[in-house]
Amino acid sequence: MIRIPIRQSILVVIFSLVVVRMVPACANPDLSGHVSDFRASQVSRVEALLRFGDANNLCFGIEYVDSALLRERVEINVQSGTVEDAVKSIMDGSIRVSIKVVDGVVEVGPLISNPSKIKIFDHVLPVFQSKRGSLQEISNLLRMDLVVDLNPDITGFAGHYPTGDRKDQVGPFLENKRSVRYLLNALLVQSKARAWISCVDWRHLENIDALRTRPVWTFVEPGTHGVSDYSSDLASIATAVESSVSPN
Amino acid sequence: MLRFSTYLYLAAFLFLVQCHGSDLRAQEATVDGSSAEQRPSRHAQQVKVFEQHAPFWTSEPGWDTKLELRNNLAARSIVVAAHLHLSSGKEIVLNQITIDPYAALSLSINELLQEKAPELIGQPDSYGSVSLRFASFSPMNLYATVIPTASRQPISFRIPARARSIDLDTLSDVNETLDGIWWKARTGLKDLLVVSNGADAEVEGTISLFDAEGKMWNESLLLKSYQMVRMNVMDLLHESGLTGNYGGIRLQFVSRGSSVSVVHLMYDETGKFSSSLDLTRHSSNTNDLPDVASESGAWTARAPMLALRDPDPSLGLPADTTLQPSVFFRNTTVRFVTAHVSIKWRSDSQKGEVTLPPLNLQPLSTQQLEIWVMQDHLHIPANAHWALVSFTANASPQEIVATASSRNCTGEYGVETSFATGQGGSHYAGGQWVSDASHNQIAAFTNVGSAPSEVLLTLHYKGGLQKYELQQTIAPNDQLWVNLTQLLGSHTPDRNGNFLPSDAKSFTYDVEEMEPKSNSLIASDLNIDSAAALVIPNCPFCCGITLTSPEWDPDPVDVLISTFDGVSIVGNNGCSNAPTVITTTFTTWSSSNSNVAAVTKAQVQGVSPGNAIGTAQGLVNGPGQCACSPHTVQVSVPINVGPYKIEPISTIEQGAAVCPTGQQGWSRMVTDQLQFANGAGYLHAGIVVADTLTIGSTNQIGLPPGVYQTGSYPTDSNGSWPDSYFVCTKSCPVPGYTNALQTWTYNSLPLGHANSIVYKCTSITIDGF
Repeated sequence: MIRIPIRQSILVVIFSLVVVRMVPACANPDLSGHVSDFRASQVSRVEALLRFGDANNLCFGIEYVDSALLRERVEINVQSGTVEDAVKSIMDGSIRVSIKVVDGVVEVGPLISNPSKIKIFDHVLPVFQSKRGSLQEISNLLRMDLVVDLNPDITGFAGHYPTGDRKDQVGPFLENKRSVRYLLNALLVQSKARAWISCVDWRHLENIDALRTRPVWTFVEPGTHGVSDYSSDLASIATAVESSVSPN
Repeated sequence: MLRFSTYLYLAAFLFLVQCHGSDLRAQEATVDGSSAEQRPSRHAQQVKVFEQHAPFWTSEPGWDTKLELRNNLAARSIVVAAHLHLSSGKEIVLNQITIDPYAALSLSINELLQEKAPELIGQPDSYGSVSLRFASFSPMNLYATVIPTASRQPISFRIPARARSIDLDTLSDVNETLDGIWWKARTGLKDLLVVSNGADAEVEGTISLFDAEGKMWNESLLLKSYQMVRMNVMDLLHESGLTGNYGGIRLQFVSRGSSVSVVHLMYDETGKFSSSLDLTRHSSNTNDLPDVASESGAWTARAPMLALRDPDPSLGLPADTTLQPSVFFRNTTVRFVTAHVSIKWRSDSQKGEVTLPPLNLQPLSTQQLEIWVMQDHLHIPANAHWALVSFTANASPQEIVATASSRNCTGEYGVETSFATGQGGSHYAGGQWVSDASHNQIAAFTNVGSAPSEVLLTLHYKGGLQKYELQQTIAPNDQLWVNLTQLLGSHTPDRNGNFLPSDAKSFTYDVEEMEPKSNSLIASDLNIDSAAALVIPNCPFCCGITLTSPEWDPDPVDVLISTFDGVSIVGNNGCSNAPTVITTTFTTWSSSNSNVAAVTKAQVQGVSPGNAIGTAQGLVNGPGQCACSPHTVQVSVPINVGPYKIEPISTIEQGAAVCPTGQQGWSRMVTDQLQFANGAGYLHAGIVVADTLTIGSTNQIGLPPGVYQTGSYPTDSNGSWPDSYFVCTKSCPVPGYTNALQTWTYNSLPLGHANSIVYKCTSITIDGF
């Protein structure tokens, strides 16, 4: 039997706690895992999904969004069951939603109707390289790299992005031939964010030409407006989603 | 090698940082939030120094003067510094006097002089005026009365102090006039007109006397700083050559007239007689006239406590006394005026009302209406004790001066009564009431409105610490009579079941209309000294609303486009300073720019982004002696319709941007804020703002068109959000700049202002910030 001196034992425990705290918010998800009852009142389905993630330590990549899912307030009452069933129920069981776990993230997207048509999140970047930086800063870099890759003649950018939690640092990254979705997941699992959410109506994700220069995702961070209140962030995303349907 | 304890502390520190980092940030945010723009609270109570001035005190041989002070505030003591101005020009500052909330003090000036200037007591030239200086919210928080009293004779006068402010008087010093009546009540009288300048500057004026027919005599008058002069009216009449038993007095001042106080005293040092006659004050600047008649076009002046031939035993006059009530009317105008007089009488068991024939008043004339002669003819019962005399006329209320007197045939016993020409009020504050073996108080509270009025009479006793509340309904044109000694003896429980303790002797009182307040009360009371057979009329203070206090609520008005916001006008009670909603008294509402904001009664509608001024005008019942004094008041408020723009309010950090390979640039993290046009923050959370960027005509750092990162952001409760501006180009580093226009929407509605952004490789400025 290995005997560990008591003082070292205390150190191990404390360092373990520190390490545990430094692990990002996402747990390793198991779609078949059991979850208990979940209720949410007068919230949008996407907000309910984020709250469900809070309750079960899940992170989401949500590609299946439209104005109704983001804005319409509903009563959610999910009986205990599997994670997958709960997510389906929250997202309205009648819609054709794909739920899978990829790289530690629960991806919620539309069921593929035409595999030959790729969506914007399937686009592969030849290389993505960045130093360590805040989640929103690196997310902005990823966006710029995507735009440059889609528009090789682009010579510059200007604008602004949400500052977010500047202490929520990710990277450094050096990834070759990775899809945007993969890179978003990579950013997400290193950060304290709860989800990345598409800013494009799910019906328009394949219209890459129209998306060449517009923002297509937002990382939703907890704590910006309180852990359980995502309504303001989701209202911003809804505005963007609606403009993706009627850009003019 | 690090010691174990060092590891332990390090580990613990890291753990705490991990665990509580967010809490610390939250605390920072709280601190930041609290340092954000805070609007001042509405009706912030600012303490200022005020002054009240009484024209006369005396410590001449055989005289003393009482200083009766009442604190009208419910929760704050008032410290008063009394300055005695002597006729010689000397000033004596007495020891400070502290009055507790709702308490009253009665102090002898002779005793106060004992400590400061005993050599002045009982000297022939020891008289003058008195100024009372104190710090409070309003000059009306103190109710002060000066009571010169002869020590060996039942001679006493109550002289209210006047606030040297705009609240009691006219709103300017232009051509101020005081009108009164002289009257030879009996032979051998000292008939003094005391004129006192309460300002630290010279005042010029004219004194005029008129006989009953209106024949006039006048003389100029010059008052130095704080100077007081006593003029013997009988000497002036002799000098003027005017004859008769009564007539008119007029004092006119061309500047600083509002600082002049006047009191007309009549007394007989050898016999039992003393009386003071009021003068009516008005300004010839019509803008500053009290607006008693401006709303309805009609007005009524009332004397609520005229003692009839058979005096009420409560007055404590000798049993066989018969009074001779009469009323003097003076027309101060140069045209014919007709007055309509009515009398509501009451005996112990009956009430009735009679209307007198119209009274035609010649220009500048004075008439005496001998009620006692007419009493039988008018079918007023012989045993009726009291009358409420009312009159109205085809003139403004300031143009007819009236006073009522009830004296026995020798003039020895009786009482004078003032006419209240102002507006009824909702709240009166009364000075010290005393009930003991030889003192009593009688008060009449008259409902001059057209609907029943529910009133609450509160007696404050034990230094203002205890109260007794009597609630009663007064029918229209009826009166609530209070006899203090009888009330004490009746052992009547108040509305809370409390009884007045038998040892309570000294009181102050408030009488207030309960909701809905309709400004329909007139109050007056009599101080009775039965040992001296002396009855002194007293006018409680009509609190009204401090005329400088009305404000919009909220102020400023922040309103969204296409929404309606309710607003109100709030003023401060002239006595207690309590905020009071007076929206209904404001009848004219307007906007300086109806394309930006539409203003209707108690409502503001946002029309388009921008600023406007909202204005409300109404007839505000200002404070006054005996009755309130309505004035037209106009109050304005800035209206911000918006939001209008988004501006950075602080820089979080800036430096080289994280750019795609081959590009360089700048990043600047700021806190953006949604704002009104005037730069005030639109402090609402959850509003989604979104923008578009358009490149300008100058593009020296090579930004391509159409590739601008824009987005939508939710505001926090400060209307703010952290925002990271950036620029990346292949051209950088390079000198020069590129300008761009950033237009915004809030909740999908366009904002009126677009930001001008200047991008350089090493800086970003937004609207010059």
